[in-house]
Amino acid sequence: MTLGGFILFALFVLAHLVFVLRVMNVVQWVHLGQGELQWGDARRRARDLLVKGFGQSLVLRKPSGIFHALIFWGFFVLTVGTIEGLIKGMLPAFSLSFLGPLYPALNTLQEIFAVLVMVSLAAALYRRFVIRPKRLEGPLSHQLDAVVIIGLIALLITAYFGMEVVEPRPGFTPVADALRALTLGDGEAPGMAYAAFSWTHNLVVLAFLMYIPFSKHLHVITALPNLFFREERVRGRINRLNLEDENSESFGVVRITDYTKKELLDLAACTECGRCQEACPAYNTGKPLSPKKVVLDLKEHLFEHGPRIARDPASAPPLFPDVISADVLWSCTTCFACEEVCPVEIQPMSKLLGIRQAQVLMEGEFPEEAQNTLRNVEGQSNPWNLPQQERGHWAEGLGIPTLAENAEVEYLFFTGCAGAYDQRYVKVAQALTKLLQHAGVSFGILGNEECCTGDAAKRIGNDYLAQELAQTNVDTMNGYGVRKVITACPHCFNAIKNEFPQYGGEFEVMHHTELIADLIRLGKLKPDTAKAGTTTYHDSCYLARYNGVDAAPREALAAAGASVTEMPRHGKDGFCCGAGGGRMWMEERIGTNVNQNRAQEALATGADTIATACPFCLTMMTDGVSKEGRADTVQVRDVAEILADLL
Amino acid sequence: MKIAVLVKRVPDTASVFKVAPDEKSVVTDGLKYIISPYDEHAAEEAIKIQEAGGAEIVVISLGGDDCQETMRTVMAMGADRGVLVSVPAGLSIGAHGVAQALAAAVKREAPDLVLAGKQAVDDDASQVPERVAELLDLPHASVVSKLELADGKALVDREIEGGKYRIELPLPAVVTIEKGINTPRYPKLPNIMKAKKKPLDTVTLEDLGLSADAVKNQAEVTKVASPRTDRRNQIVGGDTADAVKEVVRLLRDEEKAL
Repeated sequence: MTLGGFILFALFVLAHLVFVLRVMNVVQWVHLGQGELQWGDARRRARDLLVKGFGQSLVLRKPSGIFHALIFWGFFVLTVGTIEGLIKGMLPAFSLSFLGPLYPALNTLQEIFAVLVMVSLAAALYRRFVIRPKRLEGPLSHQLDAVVIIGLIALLITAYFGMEVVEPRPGFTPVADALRALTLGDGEAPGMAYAAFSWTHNLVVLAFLMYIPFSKHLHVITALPNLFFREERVRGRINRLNLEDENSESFGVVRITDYTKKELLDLAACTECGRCQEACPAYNTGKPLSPKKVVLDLKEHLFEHGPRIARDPASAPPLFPDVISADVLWSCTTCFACEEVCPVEIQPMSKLLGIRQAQVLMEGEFPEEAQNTLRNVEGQSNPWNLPQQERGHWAEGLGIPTLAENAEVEYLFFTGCAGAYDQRYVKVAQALTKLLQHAGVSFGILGNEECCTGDAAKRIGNDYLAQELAQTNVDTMNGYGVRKVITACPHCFNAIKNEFPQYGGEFEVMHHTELIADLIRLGKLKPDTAKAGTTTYHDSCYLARYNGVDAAPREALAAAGASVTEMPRHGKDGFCCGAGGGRMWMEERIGTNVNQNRAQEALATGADTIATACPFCLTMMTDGVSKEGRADTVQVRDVAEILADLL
Repeated sequence: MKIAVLVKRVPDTASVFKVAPDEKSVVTDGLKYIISPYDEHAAEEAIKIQEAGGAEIVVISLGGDDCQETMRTVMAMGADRGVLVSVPAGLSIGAHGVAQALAAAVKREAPDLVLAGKQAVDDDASQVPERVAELLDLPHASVVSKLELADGKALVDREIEGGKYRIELPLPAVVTIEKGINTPRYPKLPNIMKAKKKPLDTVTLEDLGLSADAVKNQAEVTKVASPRTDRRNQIVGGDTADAVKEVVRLLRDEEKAL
């Protein structure tokens, strides 16, 4: 080994030492979390890793993702050359030429990707500093981080081409050939040229190795494991806390160590791409909440306090309000967009819900309006504190049996608080009744025996109340042998479908738009299509994004002869009305209004009618349209109302 | 410092009340029960005193076993223990009798301060705490919107129409609480859990040296009626100027209200 080779070897060992020690630290900090990382169901995990990880399927959902994918794939291809270069630096006679015919092919592939990576780096720079999408914004340190990384990779590729020009390897390498013709012509390269490029290349590789785990590029190491360790969960379900455990003195997330190991791995996996921020209704309307910032603030907290907490777990400071402030915590509408769009499946919303649970259950400190709502739900089992004994009043004279009167009906129509009490939404419940009766559907209601599903309580953070409500409903429904349920509210729908099974309630649940679409398909409803006008459909988060129900309401509207003009953000990419997660019951004091933002988007379609399928959306959109001064010309109506008018 | 908080379990006023066929009572089926809201403010005030300087809080109530649930909510807020004066089902017992029983229970505890709501929202009688004070020969102040304790005395603001009295009372004393005084806390889950294990003693009238005869209601309810709510809700439409004229005509000529 030459002196140079020896020095390179020493640097190689040093860089790996730095890398491994840092990664071990990160692993240790992740292990400060609760529970264990799960290895079971290895097939699914392997498939996720292959498709979402190596296949970059989630990254590629955005057009700009192609640049990331090329850099990512290029990394693996070029690593072959990198390894060859490093060994050659230490043992100059080394070459991968023993691979035979594969060798030139690999070299050709490397050149292709070297070019593609270079182009992608240029695109990345152009995006970050010329187009400047808001989602890539961040403090100067983040921007510098990006420049350092892009610069290092660019330098690496430059050195790669330098080496190829001076000392070509076999293979079809037109770019290197052209560069050679351009720079050297027929002449010889200076004697030290190859060594200079080779050293540059190897030093940059080792520098990069040391830099990675200290930078946002940590995700190179953590993103794939994060995809692999994803926990199987029922979409739309917030797991019930174990409140029976008498030894448990802490509920929800007070300290960083209250998160699970997987949740802490989430923090380390963030790529800072900002797709979550771009989709967040709170962020987009000037609230201090950005899901990206939530994740990065928690990450910074973990990395800063991790070493101390590892020595003394009790020393972990509370997250609220220093890391996550009240305004951040209570701005979330639980619309799920952040978790839906994350290319590495980080769950920012769930992080906030854990802290909400702690604030409500452990501290009893949360917005007063939300406290009033929960007190109302505790009292009369609805958010308005209207009499429980009048829950069935909306159906008087409509000929709907209660299950107490007739439990033999096919469907339970779970009316929900809004359908029962909100004068505007009572009309929707009645319109749906008209449709169902017209189509000869056999259904009944619980009447005064129904109570709130606990959706809002759950998402405000009072799992105690939510569990009580869910259990009461499940017991009542099971008592009547209910099997099929129709809901007129996506929040009831989500709770019954995804959360009630945890309480022994297994029901076949349909949202009313699904049933209406079915009835039309079966010819049981024949809307008079002549009267329909132009419509745009606003997707409910809990229906479309959480539960994938976005086709049925559109199908129903189309059958009604309505021409549906889509808003730019629709279906699973729909934009929240601002009322989820208990926000319906809280004042919106910061920034602009979410519902107005959405109303503007809906009005821009030029449709006469904005169709909704959720009581919260209906209220928020009506209010938004009215604030825009368009209440006289544009109607906001439920899909059921539109259809019922056409019978 | 020892504080006794008197609480009453009452129907949630958000419920719908129906007069029973006998016209002497209301239908209790389907009613939800809560702690009388003024009593909740009294409990909160006691807990604030406890937090500021330490105090033992005893919650005292009278009724059937279902009162325990109401008392546990006060324990979840922070009260240390409870004493339930259990009365036989079916015994009609009025302010006079309740006060006799609660006074006896309070006397056994010998607290430095007795707090209660200014009235219970079911019968609105505003009698029991004052009667307890009289029976025990304690000074009392009612409808209090501010309470300070210092040097064995209570300094209170007592609300009256259009103004307030500031009164100094020597302790022990009985004080009834008006709502603006505080915001009752949202109970924390660990405290709800702990409340389930806090001591709650049940005592009978006999334990207190009283007989059912001594406490039974001497007044009799002869009739219960709902307020009249048969409004006609007439909406007058059309041109505003004409509509106003029509409304005036209706009020003057048809309703004789003007």
